[in-house]
Amino acid sequence: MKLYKYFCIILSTQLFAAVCLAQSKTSTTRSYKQAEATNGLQILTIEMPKVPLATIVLVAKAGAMTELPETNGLTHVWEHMFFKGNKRIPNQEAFNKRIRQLGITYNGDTSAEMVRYYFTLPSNNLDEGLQFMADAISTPLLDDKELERERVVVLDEYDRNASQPGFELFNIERMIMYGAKEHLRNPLGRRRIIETTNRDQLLTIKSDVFVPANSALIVAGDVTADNVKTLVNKHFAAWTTPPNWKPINRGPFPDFPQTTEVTKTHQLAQNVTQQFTWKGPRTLHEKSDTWTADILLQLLEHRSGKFFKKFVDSGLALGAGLSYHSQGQAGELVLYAASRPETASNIRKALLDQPKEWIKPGYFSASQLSDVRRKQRIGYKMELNRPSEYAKTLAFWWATSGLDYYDNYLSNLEKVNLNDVQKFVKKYFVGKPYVGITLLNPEDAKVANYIDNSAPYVEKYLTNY
Amino acid sequence: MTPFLTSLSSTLFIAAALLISELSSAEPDKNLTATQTLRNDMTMISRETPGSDIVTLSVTFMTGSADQSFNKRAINELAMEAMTYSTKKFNKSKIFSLTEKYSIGLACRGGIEMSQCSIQTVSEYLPQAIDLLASVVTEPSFNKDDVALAKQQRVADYQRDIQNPESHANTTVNTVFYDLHHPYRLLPQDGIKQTESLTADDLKTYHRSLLDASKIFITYAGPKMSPKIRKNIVSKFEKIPKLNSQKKIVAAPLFEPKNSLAFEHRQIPTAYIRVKFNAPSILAKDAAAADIMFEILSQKLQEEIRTKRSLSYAVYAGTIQYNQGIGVLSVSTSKPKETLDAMAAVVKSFKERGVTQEELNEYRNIFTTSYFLTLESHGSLAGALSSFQFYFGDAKKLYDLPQKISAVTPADIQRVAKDVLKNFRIGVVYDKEKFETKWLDVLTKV
Repeated sequence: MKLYKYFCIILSTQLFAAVCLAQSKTSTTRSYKQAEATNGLQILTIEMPKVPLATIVLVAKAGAMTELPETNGLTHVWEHMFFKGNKRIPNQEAFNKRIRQLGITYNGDTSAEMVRYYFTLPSNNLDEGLQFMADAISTPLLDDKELERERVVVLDEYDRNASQPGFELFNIERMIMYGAKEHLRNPLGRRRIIETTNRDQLLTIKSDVFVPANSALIVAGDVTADNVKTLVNKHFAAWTTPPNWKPINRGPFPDFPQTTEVTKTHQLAQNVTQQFTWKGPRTLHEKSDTWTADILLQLLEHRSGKFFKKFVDSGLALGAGLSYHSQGQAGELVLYAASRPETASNIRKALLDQPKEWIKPGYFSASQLSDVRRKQRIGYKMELNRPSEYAKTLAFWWATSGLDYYDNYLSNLEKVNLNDVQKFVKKYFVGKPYVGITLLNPEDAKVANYIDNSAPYVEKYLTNY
Repeated sequence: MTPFLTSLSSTLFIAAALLISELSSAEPDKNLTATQTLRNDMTMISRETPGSDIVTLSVTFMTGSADQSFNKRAINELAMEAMTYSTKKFNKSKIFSLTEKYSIGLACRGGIEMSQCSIQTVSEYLPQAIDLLASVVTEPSFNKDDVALAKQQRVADYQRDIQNPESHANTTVNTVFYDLHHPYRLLPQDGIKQTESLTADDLKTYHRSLLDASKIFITYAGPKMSPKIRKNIVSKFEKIPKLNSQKKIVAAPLFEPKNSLAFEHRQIPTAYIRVKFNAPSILAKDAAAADIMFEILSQKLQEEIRTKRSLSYAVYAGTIQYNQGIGVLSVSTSKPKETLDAMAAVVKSFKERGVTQEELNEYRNIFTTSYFLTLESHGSLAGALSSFQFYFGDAKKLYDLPQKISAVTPADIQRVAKDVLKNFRIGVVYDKEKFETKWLDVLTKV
């Protein structure tokens, strides 16, 4: 759904392939081989010689969650600097040339809990491709002049986000939910911090999070695990983890706030967008609840189900659903709908009444649950069908939730029953506080009888943002 | 460039050239691809994908919004949207239940020149999916409630385009790139009006015109097709009559110098600028050269505007290859004057200097990767085969692409650049207080 992209922020180095979709998950049958390089770097190899290509993904457990308020957004700046000069490649022009020489299509992305860099290239260039990746991650120059130039590029990326009508409102929502630690969920960061980034800050980020002990290398396609391991040891050996290195832990988030609703008008908003967010489970903490969350959201998507019929098939809303993006450190359960202004008020009420409906007997059926499980199994096959994408998916799960979580995901989903779903809804939704936001244009606000109450929030949260 | 890079590059170019040479024959891929002509002369393309039980099956209508009259262009996308809602054999609840039970991905999408209905599933559930796809294609219900819902969804899609500044920049340039009656023109605001005025009866009439075996083909990508499955598909689609209706010939958009700039005021922090111009058709002899020309120009724009001058996060050049080709330059920037000056300088220099053999070789390396990425998944493979069938009448021409690319010379690219990079039409979405339209002159004079 369209709303989803706003709160699940993934920033990409290049314009295209900026994807922010739920990462699907896998079965108990491992599709990859695991090894450890001599420097401690985890290696996951997916041997799938469908076409003569190899995809190399380097992922680190880093992002907004490892930043401080005064460095918010700089992991993303670092991600951009990765594609510039290093000890072997003098500058970005040479970097780009090497990309073309090796036939690499590439990108990188930064989210709250993960940074990924990925190359796809002809598999007969795997050796050179791994060396290229090793040089980029281990010996970046972080040259001051290049930083000055790239800062402006990142600011244009920031401004593109700020050009969207929902930009301010989604920032307000995050600040309400996470209070003083809101920066830990904001990979884009703040403009004024990006404007003043310096090299020392980036070097600190490098030694804090871009180390072998905090990273994994995923290689997929026309490759063999033995060869990959040999080449990784050959090229990455000089990249080491500093002595006494420890993973960064920024501590727990503040308690979820009391129920708050903010309505904001924007001249360019075309429809009414409403979303209500409850605190949800985290893959590193409330594991079994995360499986139930995934089952619940797919039951709500089931097109024979009551939710879909009430909101989507009836035409009441232009789109509606529950969104849950599995993450290790923070969970958000987002109930959303887009609509015409005439139905906005009814939809708000109906959405907020939904959780009580979900716990009524018969709201979900056993056959719907069976469909959802089958869909997961088939979804996994579809995912494996594209090794170049699957490598990125595996990287995501390694970084945010761990391989144990991922390996056992499908078998754990099989254990979730409708009773578990009811318990989950009572635990996370019924009577629990939520943060609601509504975005619409001023004319639609009159029709919907909604009042823009955002001024105090704008003043509190966005002054000097 | 460092000595290290110099010494490596020559070796790599040889490797890439060898790979291109291997690609040129592409016999293994060709041998896995077969075509069959049904009794009604409809073509079925099948591509075997060993080692996977995933299947993509699509039905392509060689018809799009460009084939409709100028005040009814939205009917094609609306019809495609509504076709999946219910059919004579499967009511809506049955469709929902089937697609959920068997995890069948079912979709119909309308395009400018062609449209498509497709299913994706695993071979175990293919019989059910074939039944469903055939019914959606041949006997959609278009009942009033379904049509009302489809209209609402289509209008919402158009509104999303209006809200997004980048797609709105595309709409803005389209107002000057196409005249009112050009077949490719369908602005979101017109789409909304047209969609709202269409009825269920309009869609039923329109659908009858779509069912012409001479303008439909089938594409299968999946495990080796069993005789039973083949028979099933053939029996479902060979009943479609052959009408031999004629396809419209589309003329290139005319350039009107006095009506080549469009500006739309929005108070946003970055300007979205989109440039369009005529380019070689996908069928033109220069299509491969144009493809490479745009790829290299895009790299040069990125190098100058993003890497060296930090004027933009997103700048690129590209081509949309329909029966009439369209060239595109696009950029977002908070320094529009400097960026436009820089873009004009890159384009001018590119036309004057062309490209080196080394740059061309580098492009071929990237092409190799992109080409195999297309072959990697069933969906993209079926899509590419369908596209080649539609434009060239032969899906296997897909496998000739590497050979065409390897035949292009630096002289071809410069010739195409000189021929194509002109007569720019420009659309800008930005804050009017921060922009002067005279800044665009530098591009229009290239």
